[in-house]
Amino acid sequence: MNATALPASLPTSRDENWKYANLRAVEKASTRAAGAPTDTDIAHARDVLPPALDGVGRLVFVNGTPVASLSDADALQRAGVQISAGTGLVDASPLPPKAGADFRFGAVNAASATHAVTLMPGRDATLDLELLFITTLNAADGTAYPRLLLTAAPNSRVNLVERHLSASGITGVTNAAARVVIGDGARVVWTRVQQQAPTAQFIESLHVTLAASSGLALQNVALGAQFARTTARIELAGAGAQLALHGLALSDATRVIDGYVHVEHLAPHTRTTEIFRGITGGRGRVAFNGHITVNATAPHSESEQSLRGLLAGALCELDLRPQLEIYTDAVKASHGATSGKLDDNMMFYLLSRGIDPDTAQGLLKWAFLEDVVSQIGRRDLRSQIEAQIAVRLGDVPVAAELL
Amino acid sequence: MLKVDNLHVSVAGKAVLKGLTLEVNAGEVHAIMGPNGSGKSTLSYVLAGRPGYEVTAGTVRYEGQDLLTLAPEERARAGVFLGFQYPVEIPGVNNVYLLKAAVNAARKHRGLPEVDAFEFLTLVKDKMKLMQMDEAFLSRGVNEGFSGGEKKRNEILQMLVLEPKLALLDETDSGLDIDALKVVARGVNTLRSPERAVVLVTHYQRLLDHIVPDRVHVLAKGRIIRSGDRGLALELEKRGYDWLTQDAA
Repeated sequence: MNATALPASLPTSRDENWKYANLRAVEKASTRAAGAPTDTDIAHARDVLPPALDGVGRLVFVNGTPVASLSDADALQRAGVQISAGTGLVDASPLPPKAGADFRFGAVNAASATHAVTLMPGRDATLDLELLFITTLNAADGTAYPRLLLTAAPNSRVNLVERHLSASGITGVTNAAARVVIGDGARVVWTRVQQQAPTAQFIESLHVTLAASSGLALQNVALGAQFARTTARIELAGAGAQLALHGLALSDATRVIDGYVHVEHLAPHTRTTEIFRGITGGRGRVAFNGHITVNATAPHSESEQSLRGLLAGALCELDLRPQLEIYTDAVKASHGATSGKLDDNMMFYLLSRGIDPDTAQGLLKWAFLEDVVSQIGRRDLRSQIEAQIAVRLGDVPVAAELL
Repeated sequence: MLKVDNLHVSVAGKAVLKGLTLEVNAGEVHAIMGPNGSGKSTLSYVLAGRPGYEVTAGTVRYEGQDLLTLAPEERARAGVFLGFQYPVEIPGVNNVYLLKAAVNAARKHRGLPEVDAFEFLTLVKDKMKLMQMDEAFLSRGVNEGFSGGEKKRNEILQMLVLEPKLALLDETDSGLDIDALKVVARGVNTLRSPERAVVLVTHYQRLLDHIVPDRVHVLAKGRIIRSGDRGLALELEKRGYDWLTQDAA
């Protein structure tokens, strides 16, 4: 491990953008990069592999190490996927400037990851790929450091599915990082799902830069882990770049799901749509800080933000923070955040049709998340995610199956 | 089938129904008419079990049991249906799912297995034809983006699929043009049978041209102040409510 590259300190709840984080378990766990997975680890990982997606090559990592026997070698070769091994992969992934405390975990990932997956679709090329990161680690076993570097050449098309799973009951830490650079006119659809065990710890750092006339549709679905934190910085650096971000978090028991997304408009005619839906129950907490900056260099930009949260219990907590900073004229910006309980009128309507209260609540929660789930374009993936959500909402049957 | 006796109901501490008495037998259609603010919607809601309506005196018996002790979902499963004046939109819950969940809840209550998915869809599509609704409505969110008339048709569609014993239709005619009114009326008339009863809450007589009631009641100031046959509705159409409410005061 390249110890010299480690930051002097990790963020704490005293850092402004980390005040809702619960880092106690992460601080106690071993930060050493986990060793290569054993046959037992691989067997446990195989147990939680979701069904394959139709026509998409799959690359599976266990505890941060690629595992050929679970992956789709031919498809990966066709896609030109490269895997670099070694430690201290810092240079391959510059951290955002002035990132402060926000990207310290990202710096640890850069210094500690033993493998990085590099995707470089060429000009006008199309890449379809699924990345699965599975951990079987407990807290003392070391940390998994998934690492993704995507450079999409001009006018390329990328459909990337990234899922983070774990064996059941594990207490280990995953510290994931991604650096994504989207070239002129390129289009990236990136669907991310975190569904680790409710005992796991999960932290990720995403840094994305979009060039002129490029587009990113990012769907981020956070269902799992005991503590999960997403830190993202997305720069709309080229004129006309567009971002559509749809985030979903589902918390219950004592689960904490915390997100901080900073979108920076740096060029004219850039556009952001940011939709977040979070549900919290039990003693859980959902926090989301949607920070959007429209710089002086970004006139005629548009930003639309809708953050909504649902409290499904008396002891849970919801912290939604829309944060909009504008440093230029001629900007169209709307933002709104609402937190509340289930709508009484909707509830009574369902009850008046004979539906029992638990099912009615589950249905309304389901409906609340639909703004985000409906954005997942792949039907097979969406069905899998819907099934996960249905189980969490108390076995709400998946309505789409009826037609 | 339904026996309401001396019902007093308060909403947010304010008395709205003040001694309402009404008896509806199986096979009958009753129309409840009255000026704005007379308590018509309150009566519908309290019978369906909406929270926030406090019964301060009186009783409601439905098929021999105390209706007021049942939760809203239990009333629905026992065969009570409320057609809402303002049906709520529930984006994300699709219509066909709501229908199927509602039918299965009622079947479970009667100890029957879940409905066969294929037969169910065939049945629903038949009823949709009757209501002149496009099948595309099925996969849309409940009432999501529906016009006022489409929402009312959807209420009647739900009623036809659920086949309740007692249908309470709260101003189902409001906001409908004459063609839509006929479609809705045809839906309601389809359901008429010796085993069922319908209570139509309405402000205007015109619905009763298409659904001919057995009894007409005038509700004012929280009580039924006059009952009669269809002729009473026609008289109200000519003379308004004032002559009755002044008598009552």
